Amino acid sequence: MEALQPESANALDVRHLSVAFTNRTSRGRRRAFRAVDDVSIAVGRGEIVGIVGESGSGKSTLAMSVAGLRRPTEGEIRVAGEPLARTMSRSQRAAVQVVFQDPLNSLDPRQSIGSGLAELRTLHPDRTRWATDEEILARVGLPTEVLNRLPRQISGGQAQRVSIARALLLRPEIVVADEPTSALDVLVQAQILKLLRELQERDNLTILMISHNLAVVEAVCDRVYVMLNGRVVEEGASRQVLGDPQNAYTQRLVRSLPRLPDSAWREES
Amino acid sequence: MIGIRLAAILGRAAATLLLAVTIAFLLTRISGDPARAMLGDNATADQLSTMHAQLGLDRPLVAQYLSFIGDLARGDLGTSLRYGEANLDLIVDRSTYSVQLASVAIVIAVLLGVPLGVIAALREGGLVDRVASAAALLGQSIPLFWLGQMLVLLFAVNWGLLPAGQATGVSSLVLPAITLAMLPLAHIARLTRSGMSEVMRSAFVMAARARGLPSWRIVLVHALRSAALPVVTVVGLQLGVLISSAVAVELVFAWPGLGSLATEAVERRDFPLVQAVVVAGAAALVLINLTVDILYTVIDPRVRDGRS
Amino acid sequence: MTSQPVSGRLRSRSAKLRAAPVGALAIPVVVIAIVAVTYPLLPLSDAGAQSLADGLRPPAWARGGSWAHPLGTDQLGRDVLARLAAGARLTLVIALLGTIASAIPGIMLGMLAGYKGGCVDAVISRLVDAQLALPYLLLAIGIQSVGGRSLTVLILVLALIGWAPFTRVVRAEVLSLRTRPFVLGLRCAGVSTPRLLMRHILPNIAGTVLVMATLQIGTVILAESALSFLGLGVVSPQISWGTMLAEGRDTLVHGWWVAAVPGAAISLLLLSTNLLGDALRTRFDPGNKEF
Repeated sequence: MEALQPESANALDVRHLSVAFTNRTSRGRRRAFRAVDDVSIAVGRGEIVGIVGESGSGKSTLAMSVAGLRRPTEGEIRVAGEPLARTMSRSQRAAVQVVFQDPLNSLDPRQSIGSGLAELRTLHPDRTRWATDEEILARVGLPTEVLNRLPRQISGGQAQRVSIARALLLRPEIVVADEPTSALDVLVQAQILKLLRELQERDNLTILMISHNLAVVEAVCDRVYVMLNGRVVEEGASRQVLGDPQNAYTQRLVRSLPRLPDSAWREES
Repeated sequence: MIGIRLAAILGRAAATLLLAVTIAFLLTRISGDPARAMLGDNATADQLSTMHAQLGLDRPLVAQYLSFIGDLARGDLGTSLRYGEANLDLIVDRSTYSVQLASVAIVIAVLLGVPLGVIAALREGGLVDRVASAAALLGQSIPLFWLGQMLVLLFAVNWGLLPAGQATGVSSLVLPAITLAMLPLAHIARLTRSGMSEVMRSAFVMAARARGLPSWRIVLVHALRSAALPVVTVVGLQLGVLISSAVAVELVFAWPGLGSLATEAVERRDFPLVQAVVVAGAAALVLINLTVDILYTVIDPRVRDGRS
Repeated sequence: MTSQPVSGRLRSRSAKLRAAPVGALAIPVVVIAIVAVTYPLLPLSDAGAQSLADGLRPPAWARGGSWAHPLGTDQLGRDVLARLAAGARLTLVIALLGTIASAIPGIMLGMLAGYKGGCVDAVISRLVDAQLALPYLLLAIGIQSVGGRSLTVLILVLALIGWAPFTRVVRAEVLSLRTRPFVLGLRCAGVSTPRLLMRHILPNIAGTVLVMATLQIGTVILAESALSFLGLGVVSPQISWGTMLAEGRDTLVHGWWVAAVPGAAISLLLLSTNLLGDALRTRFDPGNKEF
């Protein structure tokens, strides 16, 4: 184990990451297309960091690479100081958990919530010992009746809470949330975001949040990176980047937001 | 570029054909000893080894395979032990009968099946729809050769309307063609129906209607065009199934096509001929699928760009 | 085809007809199965008892028939009804074994191809294409002519004929399943690939597999009867509906019932399994096109 350096205090360190796809064009030639191009980001412990961008900016590909679901072409990803290996062991996998956009497709349709949790316990007996099913559900605000239900029998908001519970149970170093609220109704969205904030404050949970929704990012994230065409074009404290953007693209993004005069987001700073 | 896609399709077809004949080669050799099958269980060791030598079975498998492929490439499918002629000639000779039968059957299937499907879709839940659905279901459930037998019984034996078999002219084509057409007819009718029905409900037909185009024109032009592509696919697939079904049907009607050649070859234990027929059948199927794939690429621009 | 239904009347009458209770459709199959299993206990004459004097007696309702032989006798004087009941057993057993023998490798290969992708998928897909390119009856003829007419060879031939459709269907389903978030999430949780395939993917394709298997039974029965008809499938003195059809070949003119009865029985069985398969398909995926 190498000596502790300032960097390893970070939950996540990404350096010069590039992810390239080979596309066969209609002419039969192969063209490499970089979804992520030389991106470096860092997430400290207990931070909620946002990645903002439009479709095609590469934010989802970045998220998948951090989660170990996609192999990067170049660059390095370190989780709590340890680099991500090509083949990850089970406990390495547990260090990065993901919450996806589509709550109802994020759970095995044929498995009850309870047996899903039981399976996690079978795979990671030590890591999951710290909380019972009831406790972990309570932590995300769900009643224990949910344990016997199938995914199609619970609402989208509840399913998303289950996904968060499953992620929490494995005690990850960092949770990657890929558009966690985009598929939810607005009121439910607020609840989930509030939950994430609470988990950060109470349990020091570290979150990397991917979103195309600037309002969500501003409300919940401490810092933010703005991505365009695979590159990071601006970064900094979220209030600063979104309140006073320096980069032209960021400025256009911010300006294009339809704004309501009495947005509740503004009060809960 | 279309050229590249066509080349890819051709390549794939060639690979499939090669793989298919290889499988045929391996399976016919692995499943037992062809020499013993031909000579019977009472064959002496001497007889067996003579036959082995004659069939080339005493060589190592790889050598057999290489000469098998080499012969195929030259168009040599071996020589029939019973007829003493080149298998290829025998096959080509009899194929004409099979092609005749298959073409008529497909024509019947399309000419009856498509209108049936269209009418069934237009009047959903109506009499035609229900009868057609029931008939289609029956068509998929009744063993073809049995159906053939029953038809022979009814039309030839009891009512004496049509000949019971053998290629004696147009009238002798009727019964076997109808029998063979049953299964493709069922599939084509069903698919046309569901294709038409989906298209009729689609937004663009509704929009056309709203624009005031007369009903019959909508049906004919728009709907049929959209439903045409799946039908082409089905026809292509059904031609393949026809080859298999034809074997039994030809037997029932004593139709001197490829199928009866195969069964005769089996009865006479003519191993080289059996192998040759299997290869020929596979080649025919691959050719048909190839044609369908090429047509598909040419007809549907969406398929051309979308699939990669 | 991605046309969106706009009309409110989404289900036509015939579609509702087809959504008939699955249970009801299973009844004929169950009846046949029961007959097959309880055959020795049934009050029927011996299926093998020959009596040349009684040869070719027509069924009870025809002229010259009697209720001693409700469905007539064949050329050797054997009772057709008894043979039908006896043959049910072998026919069903072969149908079941053949389907299972083709389903297991078919599903495995399909899951592998769909989940792993890449090289594995390419090889398996080429194999599927090649298998489907071989006219099944000709191939079966080829194999059996060399391999002999044992039951084992027959089941193997049927497995060979039937595996490819399973692989194709399973592969397609798995391909679409594998990008679903829950699969990705399970990978993140460290679930091994075999466990993922067996415990999460397989249960989710079970519906499709069941539909395929039900429809495949029909194909297997047809293949077996075709092979027996050609003298290649089941060996006498064993009885299957296919061998009965073969025996009926020679007596077509003077004893039509000898062939008509087993053929009708096969048709009935197939009708039931096809309807059952359709009903199951509607139940599991109402949006599926019929094909």
